[in-house]
Amino acid sequence: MSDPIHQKISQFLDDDLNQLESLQLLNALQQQPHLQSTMQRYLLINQALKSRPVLAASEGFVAQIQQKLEQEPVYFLPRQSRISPPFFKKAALALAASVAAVAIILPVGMRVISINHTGVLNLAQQQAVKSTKQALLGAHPSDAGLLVSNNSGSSMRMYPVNQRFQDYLQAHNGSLYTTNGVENLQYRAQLASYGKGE
Amino acid sequence: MAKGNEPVFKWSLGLIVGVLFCMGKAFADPVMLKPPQLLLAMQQSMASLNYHGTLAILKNAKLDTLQYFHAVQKGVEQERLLSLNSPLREVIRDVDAVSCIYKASQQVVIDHKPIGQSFLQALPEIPAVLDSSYDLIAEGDEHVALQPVDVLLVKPRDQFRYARKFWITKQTHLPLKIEVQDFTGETLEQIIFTDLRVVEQLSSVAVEVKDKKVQHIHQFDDLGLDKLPLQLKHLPVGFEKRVFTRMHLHPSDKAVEQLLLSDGLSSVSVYLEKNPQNFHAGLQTAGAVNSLSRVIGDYSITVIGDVPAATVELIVQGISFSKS
Repeated sequence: MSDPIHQKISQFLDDDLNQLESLQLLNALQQQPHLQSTMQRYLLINQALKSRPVLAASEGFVAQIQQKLEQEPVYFLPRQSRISPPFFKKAALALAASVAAVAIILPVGMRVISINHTGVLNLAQQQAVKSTKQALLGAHPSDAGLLVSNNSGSSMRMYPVNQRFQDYLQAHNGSLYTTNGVENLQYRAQLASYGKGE
Repeated sequence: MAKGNEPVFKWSLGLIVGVLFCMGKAFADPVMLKPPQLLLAMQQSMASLNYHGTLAILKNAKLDTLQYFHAVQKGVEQERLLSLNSPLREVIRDVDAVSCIYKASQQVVIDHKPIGQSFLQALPEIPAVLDSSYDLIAEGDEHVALQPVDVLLVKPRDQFRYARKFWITKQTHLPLKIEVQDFTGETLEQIIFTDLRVVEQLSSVAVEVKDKKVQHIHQFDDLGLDKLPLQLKHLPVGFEKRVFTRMHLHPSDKAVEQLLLSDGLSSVSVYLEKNPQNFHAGLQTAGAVNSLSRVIGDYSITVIGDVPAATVELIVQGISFSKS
């Protein structure tokens, strides 16, 4: 491992580089893609040293297979008879009967399991909470707010999202710009530009 | 299929199955970077590569699709979003502002920001800051949009912040999918690249304002953290004060003061407003964002951020005015 960059890769994988050195190495890896395969190789070696079985295809493996396929001769042989021997016919019938039996029995069993499962109750409860929340958020801004219990056991009023919330959120970060929430912002921007703000 | 091709077909099938088996075996055990290295590699790729693609964003039970561009010129980043659905708009994020250009009204809104945060996910400059409040967990490899990815879960150690899950391409270390999850593992928000291309060059775009109505919003004065008139007694572990500014809210033009807090992934703003009108002291929720307000004297205090309701409640309860 005489090459310094290879040594750096090894140190990076062993957590022996500080952040600045790591960033410099990652930058170098981006600019020299062949080093990425080196890092992948070192990772595999790392894995192998941990005594886990690893099989890795050599770089030219797929190309060799393609070459072999191209060299494969094409045979124009007469079509074989599609009539199956009687033994396979019987086996196929038996298999079809088994599949039909499973198809009838399995849904009945699954229904029993799903009825007994408490997950249904949990799901129903979650849906109820969600619908309450949605109803709350969709409520008119002039609503007085709903009293909700919080984690600390006390209760507080929960209000639908209002203008101030949107203003604060827009000033807080750019997340509103990634969604159609920005539609409202455009409307408000127009209002403001015509001097008709809130 | 022609009869004569059958042996070739069988041969090919056998070989393909063999190759897939070998490859599957090779990747059966996760051959991937350690979680902190993976996070660092993702952060470095997100900031330094030129890339573009189609982004599907699921927030508040709504799906939006946008074209996304990330360009870097002389070390300066620019993000650009183009909406594919109405209202047609172009959003450009430069270092200190987000500009929104509306196609129909030919209007430009320039929203000034004290700190630039990626539209995809804000990441800390030093990933080690997450050590105090998150565990980084490698969750093996999967495929997203037919590309092999490493899955990294950034799991909070308490219930005062959400988890983030990243599906990171093995080849470029860019995130193909990002999820915000609550502490039960339920997905609150999701961002997915349905296609993503890394390119050698991608030009930055200048915000075109000629013949357009231009409006600047949230222009701010940096007051400095030493001017902060508040005490925050209950700050969850890992949250640090970042900036304290004064700005004018849009569109009411009301002056407010904003303290920005961050733990590296999640951010919270504390707003201080004097003599507020039509003010509700209570909780408001939209998707992963929660807000809680209270009144102290003539001032309203509002804490808002992409954190659970318990977090804004904890912070609000611990706020008091400094005696000075």
